[in-house]
Amino acid sequence: MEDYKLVKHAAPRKYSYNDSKTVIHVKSSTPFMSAVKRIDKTFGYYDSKYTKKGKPIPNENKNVGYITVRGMGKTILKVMNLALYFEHEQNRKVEVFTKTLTVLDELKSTNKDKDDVFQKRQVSCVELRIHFTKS
Amino acid sequence: MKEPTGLETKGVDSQGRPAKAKHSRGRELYRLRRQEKLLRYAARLKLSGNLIDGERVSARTMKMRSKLQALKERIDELSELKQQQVNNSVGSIDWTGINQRATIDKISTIRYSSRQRDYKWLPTHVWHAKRAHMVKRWGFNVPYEPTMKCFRQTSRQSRIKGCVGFDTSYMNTVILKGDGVFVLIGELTNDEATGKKYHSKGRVWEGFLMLNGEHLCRSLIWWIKSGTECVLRFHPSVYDVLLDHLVNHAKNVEFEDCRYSLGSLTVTGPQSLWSLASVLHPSISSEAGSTFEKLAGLNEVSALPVGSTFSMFIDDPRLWPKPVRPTGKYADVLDLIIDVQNGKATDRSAIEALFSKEGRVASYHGQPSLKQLGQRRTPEFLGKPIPKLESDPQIPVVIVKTTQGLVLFAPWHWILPIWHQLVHVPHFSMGGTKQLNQLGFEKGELGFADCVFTRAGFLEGQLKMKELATKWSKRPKSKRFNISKLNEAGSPFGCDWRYLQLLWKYLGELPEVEDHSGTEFTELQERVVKTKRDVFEKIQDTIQKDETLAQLGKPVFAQLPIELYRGEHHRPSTEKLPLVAIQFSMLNRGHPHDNARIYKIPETEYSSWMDAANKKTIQGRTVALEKQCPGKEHLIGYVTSATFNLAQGKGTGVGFIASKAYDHLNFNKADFVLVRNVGSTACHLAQWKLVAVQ
Repeated sequence: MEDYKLVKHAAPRKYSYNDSKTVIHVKSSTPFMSAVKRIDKTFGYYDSKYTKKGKPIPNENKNVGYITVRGMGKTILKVMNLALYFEHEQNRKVEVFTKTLTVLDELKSTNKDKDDVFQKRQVSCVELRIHFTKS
Repeated sequence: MKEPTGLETKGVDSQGRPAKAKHSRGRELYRLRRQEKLLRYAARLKLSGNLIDGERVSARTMKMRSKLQALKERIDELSELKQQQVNNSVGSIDWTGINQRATIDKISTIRYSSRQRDYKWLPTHVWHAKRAHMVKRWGFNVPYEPTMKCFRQTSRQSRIKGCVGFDTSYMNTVILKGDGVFVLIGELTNDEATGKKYHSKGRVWEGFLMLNGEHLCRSLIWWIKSGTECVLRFHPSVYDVLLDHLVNHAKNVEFEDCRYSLGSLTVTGPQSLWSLASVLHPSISSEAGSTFEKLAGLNEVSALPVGSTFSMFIDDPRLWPKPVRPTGKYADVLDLIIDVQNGKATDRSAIEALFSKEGRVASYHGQPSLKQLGQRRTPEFLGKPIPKLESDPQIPVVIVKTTQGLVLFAPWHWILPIWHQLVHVPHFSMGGTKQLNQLGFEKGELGFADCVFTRAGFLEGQLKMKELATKWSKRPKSKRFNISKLNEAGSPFGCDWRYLQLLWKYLGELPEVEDHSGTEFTELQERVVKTKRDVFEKIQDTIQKDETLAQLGKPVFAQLPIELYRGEHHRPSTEKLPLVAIQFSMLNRGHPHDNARIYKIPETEYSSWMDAANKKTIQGRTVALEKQCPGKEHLIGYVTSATFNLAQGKGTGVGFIASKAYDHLNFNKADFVLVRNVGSTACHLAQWKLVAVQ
């Protein structure tokens, strides 16, 4: 396979604007603490808020009950650590799901006469659901 | 306005304040100016006795009425002669230049013809002129950056949510046909774009064009017919050079210059496919159209491989009152993506129509005006799409995934209707050339101005340098910083490549043991380099010589002082300094700016720099280093663009270093360099990586 250069592509996922507020993707270069802070901030966004006089501001996001955290491949370890952190440090209810994702590998041929090869590869993935409610 | 009573004092209003001088404004002023110009033409006609096209008439013997009659007849005659047949009511016309340069005829630009004499407008000019700073570059009026601040928004929309769109119609497209195309493309790309992968499998090639041993610009080549017909898309800065080559040197090649007949939009970000799909409605049910619709829900950040292509016929986007949320089912996406690579999403007839003059003219056939569409939108169709008529045109479009994002090609006069719909997609934002550069730099890629090894990129840098220098010189002495005190390596206004070239050249002449016996000159009055001091003196001598040459009007940079390092097998010319492109990110502190200087760490200080870099205070913050900046002799390169990178959370940038310095760093396995901003004494550690220029 010397004639090919591997280009990895992101796991295909559906675009949804609202997902950007409830789904957090952890990658291998994400530091553990920045993932923790990002999740914490998202909780803050969905917390019930009050006016200066102490009246509650109606929450428009009542349907959202948890935040999803996903990581695949070598990030699984980091995601599991996140699960432990939120379960024990913050006493939140955490659900763990395992998944298998199919991703696309592009083998770019360095030889201009040979065609590129596209392959599918399966990667394991972990999904956490960290609930707002504390146990 | 109040009617005058006749009792007012002259020159004073009813309040006693001096009245404002009355003068015409807006359209009235424009009309008067045109009238004045016409009168001047008429006066000249009277004096010389010539008609505009040069025919002689005895103006003295003619009466005024007959003069006007003659003029009117002449105008009618000329307008019939010039006018091309238009197959629509809105004056859309195809300005393709066949085997010659394309020009815009006056026909549809008559309204603002005088404003577009030197710099043509993009199809979306009027929209952009209200919302962005425009710059006049490369024969076009190009949006530079939106008026609203958008650094963070652009970065986030291109990575996390939403999308960013650009009107890139200023990029030139040429369609090459004939038996000589294969040879020509081989010459221009060092035989790279002529591989089987590209010409028979239809993959899109992206890379640098080469002409006479010099890099021209990054371009895109797409073979439409194997070996005989291809689309060449390139930057407008090299338009003249390339077109000259096509006209004078290309053999057995016919070309169509689509500078003003093919427009393009670039959309990037996770929502880009979604946004395009909510605006483009395939007009006939085809496999290509349905594949595109099925993929519409895909989050498009590195999910689609570069080179994926779509092509189809679409309906007039103005039939819909607003963008429509795509409804295609999202399933088996990976198989679909692989199918797209095998050409499942391309409709041959759409490609042929878009890249031929007849096809584009046909797409304008019966193009309705906004007024006609408004008349068809009767109350029962409020909020719904207007029913399609048989006379409504079908528009061929092509979408190509490039490194910059999804590029949509469409006929020039269909770009505006598509753009008008696209900007109404939620979470869509627009950008200019500055934002395109920002996105490139965040990914560690080279933008147009970063490519200093191309003539256009180099001149761009020189221009910016000159502009800043003039700005500086115009300030009063008390308000401007003192350049001589800065003791900057090269000009403080930009990346001074000439300085770097001379520095490395003269440092090479320096003997191993310095000789302090005094200054010496050769017979040609050139300084002999004996000490480090001589090196800098000699640089000053040469730069002064350059300035004298420039004042005499002789070109200083007939040969660029730098070139791109192309590996050991390529023997560089002795004069030019070979450069290597690098990207870097700051190790802990430091906010690098454009034109920052790159130094290598002196060997004696390497360990102390490393120690100091790892020190941390109790709060976990790194200590500001109070270490001296290395001397000018350690300068290895310049940063072309750098700033705080939101994607990485620290300062990053791209720049160029001398290839010898690159070898030295590689040999010593040194991952770090020092970066210093212009006018600053603080040096910061940065980790560098090679950028492959291809």
